[in-house]
Amino acid sequence: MAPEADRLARTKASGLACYRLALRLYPQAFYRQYAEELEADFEEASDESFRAEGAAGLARAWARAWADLPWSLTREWLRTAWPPAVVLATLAASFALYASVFRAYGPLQQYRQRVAAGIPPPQDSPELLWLMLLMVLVPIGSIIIVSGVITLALRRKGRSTRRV
Amino acid sequence: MAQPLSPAVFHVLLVLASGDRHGYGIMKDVLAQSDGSVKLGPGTLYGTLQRLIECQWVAEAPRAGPRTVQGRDRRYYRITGKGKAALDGDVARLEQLVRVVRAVKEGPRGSRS
Repeated sequence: MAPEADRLARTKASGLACYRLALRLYPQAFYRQYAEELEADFEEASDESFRAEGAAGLARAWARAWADLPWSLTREWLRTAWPPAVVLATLAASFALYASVFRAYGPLQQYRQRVAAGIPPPQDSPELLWLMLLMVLVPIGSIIIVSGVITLALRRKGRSTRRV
Repeated sequence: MAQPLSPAVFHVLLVLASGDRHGYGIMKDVLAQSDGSVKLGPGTLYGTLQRLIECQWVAEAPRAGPRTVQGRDRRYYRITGKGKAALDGDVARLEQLVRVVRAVKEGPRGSRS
């Protein structure tokens, strides 16, 4: 295969791989029903646009497909029964983030003032360490747990609404 | 009065009214038919088709022989009687609208004082 054709084939394959990955973001039921066709359309549009207009055409075809993703993803997710759960999860994660940052803010300020005033910070300050850990771990943990629960729920929902 | 159809639904039904198509065929024909003013992205198209199938305006076309495009098996879609009725209803609504607009624009001559 000529190097040019080889490069093009690799570009198209990686574009398709990225698109295939992005398609996984659709709700399960929609994904199962239409992912194969979406992939086929993407491939066909890529080939056709490249044949007609070269690299610029290929870029345009890809841009069209990618630009459509956020809108259609939003629409399809809104059609599922889960928007309230997602809103609640976001609120819970935001609250956890806010609470942990708020809890750590006072001690951190004191620590900063001590350092600024030239007072050497205490050799061991487990409270500070704990607070810093909490500040990082609580929001990350809550986001992971909440998204895990939602994902599981959605998978179950997707299976139950699977078309025959 | 029936609800007006969205541009996406209207154009998809109009394309399917002239024959069965697969997804990418619908996308291309909608673009050509609307002179490039309605650009259906792939996700939007299949979302629209899913809704149309749910309300039985469109159905999957039964296969008559192999329907492969570039070696891939493709699903074809067909407008149903209900879909045709909805399309005809919207066309009638648009025609009525055009008549009203024309009448208003032309107006009764000499009515301004």
